[in-house]
Amino acid sequence: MKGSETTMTESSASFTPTTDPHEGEQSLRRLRFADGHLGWFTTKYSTCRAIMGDRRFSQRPLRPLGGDDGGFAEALSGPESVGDLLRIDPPEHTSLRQKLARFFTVEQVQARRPAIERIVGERLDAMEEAGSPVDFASVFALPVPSMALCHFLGLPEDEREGFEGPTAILDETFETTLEEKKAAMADFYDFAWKAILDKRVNPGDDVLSHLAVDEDLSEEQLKGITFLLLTAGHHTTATMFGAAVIFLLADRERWELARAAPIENTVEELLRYLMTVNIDMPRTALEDVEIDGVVIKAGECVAVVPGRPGGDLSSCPGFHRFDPEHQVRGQHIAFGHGRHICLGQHLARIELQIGLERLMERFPTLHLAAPVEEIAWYRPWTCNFNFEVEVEKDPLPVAW
Amino acid sequence: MSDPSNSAAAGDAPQPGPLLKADRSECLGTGVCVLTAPDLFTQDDDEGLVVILDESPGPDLTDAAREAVESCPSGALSLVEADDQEPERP
Repeated sequence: MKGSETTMTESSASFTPTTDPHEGEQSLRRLRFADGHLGWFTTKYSTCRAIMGDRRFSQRPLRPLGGDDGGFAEALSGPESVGDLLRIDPPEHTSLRQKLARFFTVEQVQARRPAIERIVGERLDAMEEAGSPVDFASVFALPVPSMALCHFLGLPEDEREGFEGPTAILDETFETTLEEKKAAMADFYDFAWKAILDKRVNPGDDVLSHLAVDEDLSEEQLKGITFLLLTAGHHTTATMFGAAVIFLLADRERWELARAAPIENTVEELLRYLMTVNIDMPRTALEDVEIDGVVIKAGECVAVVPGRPGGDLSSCPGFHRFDPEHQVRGQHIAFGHGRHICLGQHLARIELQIGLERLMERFPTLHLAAPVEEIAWYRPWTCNFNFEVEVEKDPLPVAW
Repeated sequence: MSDPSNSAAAGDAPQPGPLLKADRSECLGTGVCVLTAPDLFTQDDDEGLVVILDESPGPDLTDAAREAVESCPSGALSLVEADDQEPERP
């Protein structure tokens, strides 16, 4: 076992959904983390799901998976992390998550459809005005989720730069230094705190206004929650928009399949198949845990890196193919699993449903304006099985 | 476990179906159950936590109930099979 250690390195890699080359091998394998810790990693669906749903694992510490993370983990470990749901365990996690749940119910999110329609419509108009060809990333994929978050949280859309600037610095993991990241975090928290204080004076019917007057929440928690809400819902959904468009346009048959199927099915299948967010927070065992015949010792860390395509490929052989006819609800972990499952998953779903449906209606002849191999799309949260972390930030040219 | 051939032969009384239970102290309001089985679950307005719409889902909804229980991220749902509904003995 010790003879086959893996390490992660940072560099770019091509975008191609790939089956897990480790399938059939032992599901839990040794990983040498960047700080020297000898832990584990898994890419197998059922093992990832089991660990995500297992209370014997903690979210702390946040250990960089591979290479030099440019101080990312350290920058995210300030006192405000007490409000970051991805960084805390029960019972603190349970009470904070339950406090947020009512804003993110299926019904609450469905009620935001008209606003999302307006935002999507505006960005499609902007695409048309800019004319063919256009960079889909900057004109649509990045602004739609950002504007949706502004609406949902109650921030003016023209203040987007206040969080987009700092998060862009954080996301450029390997290009920015620890000092730059720490300064970006400080800027972000200043922005967040100003917004919260403003909500106390001028409340609206939005998430931030409700949280701002909650007396159980400390300043640190409020800053941390705002950080999570604004970062977890932006580049994640943007990446999914970009990846979906590349994937569907790379093979015209997929584009036509997607257009013909009910949009809910298409989006669910894209989420499963593309698994664009497949770097999860590493989990640390609080006690010895036996999984798949391996004992993960108390204190050992597991990197949970679900494979692409997602879903249980051994029990559903059809899952190797992309097919919107698949009934995949509940059978993928594109939003994670367990108590840290994505809080905003229903919001992400309707953004993707409305965004892709209207895009396909408005631009039925859409195509990539460069060979697919030459398109390096910004996808900071994806990880290939050779454990190269993808960090390109380039345009995504489309034409019609 | 009762003998399946025995209970199938009964016929004089309707077979009790499984009962759906939710532990709201464990529920995190993720809404996965509402997505999976909208006929069986909703979320309340005040807290966003699970509300069961039909405690004893009929045979046509048993699979959906089972799927919802299996996919619940917080393990707050359970389906108590008819066989287990006997009063517990010390």
